[in-house]
Amino acid sequence: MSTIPRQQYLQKMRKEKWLIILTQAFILAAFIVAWEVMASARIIDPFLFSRPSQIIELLLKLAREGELFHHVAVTVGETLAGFFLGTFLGLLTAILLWWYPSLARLMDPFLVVLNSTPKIALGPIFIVWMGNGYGAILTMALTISVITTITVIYSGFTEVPEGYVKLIRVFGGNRWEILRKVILPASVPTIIAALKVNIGLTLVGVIVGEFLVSKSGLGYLIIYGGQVFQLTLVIASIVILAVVAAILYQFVAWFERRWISNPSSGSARVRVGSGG
Amino acid sequence: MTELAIELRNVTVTYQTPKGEIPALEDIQLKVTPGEFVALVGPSGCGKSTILSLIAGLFEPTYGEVFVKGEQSGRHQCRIGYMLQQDFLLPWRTVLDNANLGLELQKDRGKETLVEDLLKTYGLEKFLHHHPTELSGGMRQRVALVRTLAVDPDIFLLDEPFSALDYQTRTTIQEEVWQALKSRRKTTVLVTHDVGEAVAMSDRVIVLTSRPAKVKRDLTIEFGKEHPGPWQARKSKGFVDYVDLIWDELREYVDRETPAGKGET
Ligand SMILES: Nc1ncnc2c1ncn2[C@@H]1O[C@H](COP(=O)(O)OP(=O)(O)OP(=O)(O)O)[C@@H](O)[C@H]1O
Ligand SMILES: [Mg+2]
Repeated sequence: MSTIPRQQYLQKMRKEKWLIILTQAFILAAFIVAWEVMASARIIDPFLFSRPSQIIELLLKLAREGELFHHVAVTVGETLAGFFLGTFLGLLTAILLWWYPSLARLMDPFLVVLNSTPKIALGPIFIVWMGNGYGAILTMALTISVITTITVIYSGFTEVPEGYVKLIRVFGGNRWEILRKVILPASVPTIIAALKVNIGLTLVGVIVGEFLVSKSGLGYLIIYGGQVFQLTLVIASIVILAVVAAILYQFVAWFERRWISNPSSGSARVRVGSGG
Repeated sequence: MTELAIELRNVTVTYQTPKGEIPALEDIQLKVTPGEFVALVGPSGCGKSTILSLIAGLFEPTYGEVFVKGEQSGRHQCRIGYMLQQDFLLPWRTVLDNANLGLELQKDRGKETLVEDLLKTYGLEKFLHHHPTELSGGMRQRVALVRTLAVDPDIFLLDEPFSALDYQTRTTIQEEVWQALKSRRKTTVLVTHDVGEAVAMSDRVIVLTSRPAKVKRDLTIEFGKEHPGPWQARKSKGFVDYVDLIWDELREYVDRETPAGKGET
């Protein structure tokens, strides 16, 4: 039984939510319509800017020929592989660095330099080393995502209040228990944040890899479309890429909701009540 | 001669920090016999928590030795229950899971009902499945207390365990905890700012100087042959005299701080 003010409050929240969704849909529709109208009125050059109707037509044609699915599948496959491998390696390395603090101090300057180096510049080297194929693309994606993952998660580990660690030691817990019962659970929000960044970085790595390898995938479609001046193909591929990225991001967000079932656990993770 | 529960021999602790040295303890001697209830009082920041951490074996003294039941602390076999000054309740765990942490780490299974009963005793039965952020300061402190009591150690180290409680709750819980510890003949070292609490609960009160802490006064508290418990002790004849005596010892530090509890004794 909810009270009347509660009902009014909920109603207001629902109304606001729908208003926002409708406005967002309207902005998107207005953008597409304006684009189409301007292209047919020749205000913008459809050869350079393409137009929504052409893009949809091309997408339908590619879908009928089955080629679209092939390229999407290649890109999604590479991204998922890079994402899981990058997360796994990043988390593992962060744990190692936490476990051996002297190793962390030793690695620190190297990680800083690697983190700020544009890893994309290494692309041509990977192609020479790994051959012109999936190996080079995956290495590219991993190189871009893994260093950031390590840095973000490791700094999350070091920010866990020292008192929690002391607490485990007071009850006779060992280092493994400190990791399992305090460090990892306290870092869940940081790990999720790292995963979200990771999705984007892995996609960057995969697309750049496909640019260089130029055999298949959305990155290949984009670079190919550019070379033959078929801007409709380029924009259509970018649209699909955006959809893929949004779906992958939602996948992490869904994971987040499932993992952190209690909403207070994330925001409140560093609040330590003074017992005194 | 019976074996001592706790012994500190010529213990000196100097913290080393990048900015310099912080002398915390200087040549501390302390002997606690089994079953004894000892209170440590002293100006804030003098090194009281440091003494408890040493006994718990969290680190070693710079000079001197710390023994627990005749064994070097840190390598001792007996269980120590250390209630830290801050509660450090894990925010992602429920009240019940927090209270169970100690048992969980000591691989002590089958005592879950004990923890639930304890939580109920301390008025937390409605909050078993809530998270610590939903609790008041006093409730959090009681969860931390249950977490320590549940592991049923031989030696209890309590660092200002009742400081976040209101006066009424504090008096009740002092009595309950004291009964629980005394009836099971537990050795207890209690750190407190509340002089009245120290006198009411302990067999001995040790007054420390300001940092670096030295033992300023070692005062045996006696209310007749048997200790009557904190509630009766407060009403006993000698109570006020003891409080005044300790208060006199602490007076010279009052300029720098006003210990809590004077007004409430
Ligand atoms: N890990 C540490 N590193 C450096 N200095 C420390 C450390 N722990 C404590 N100290 C210093 O040692 C002194 C004694 O600290 P301690 O916590 O033992 O005092 P306390 O008597 O428990 O204080 P309070 O009454 O505020 O609880 C303080 O001045 C503190 O600043
Ligand atoms: Mg202290």
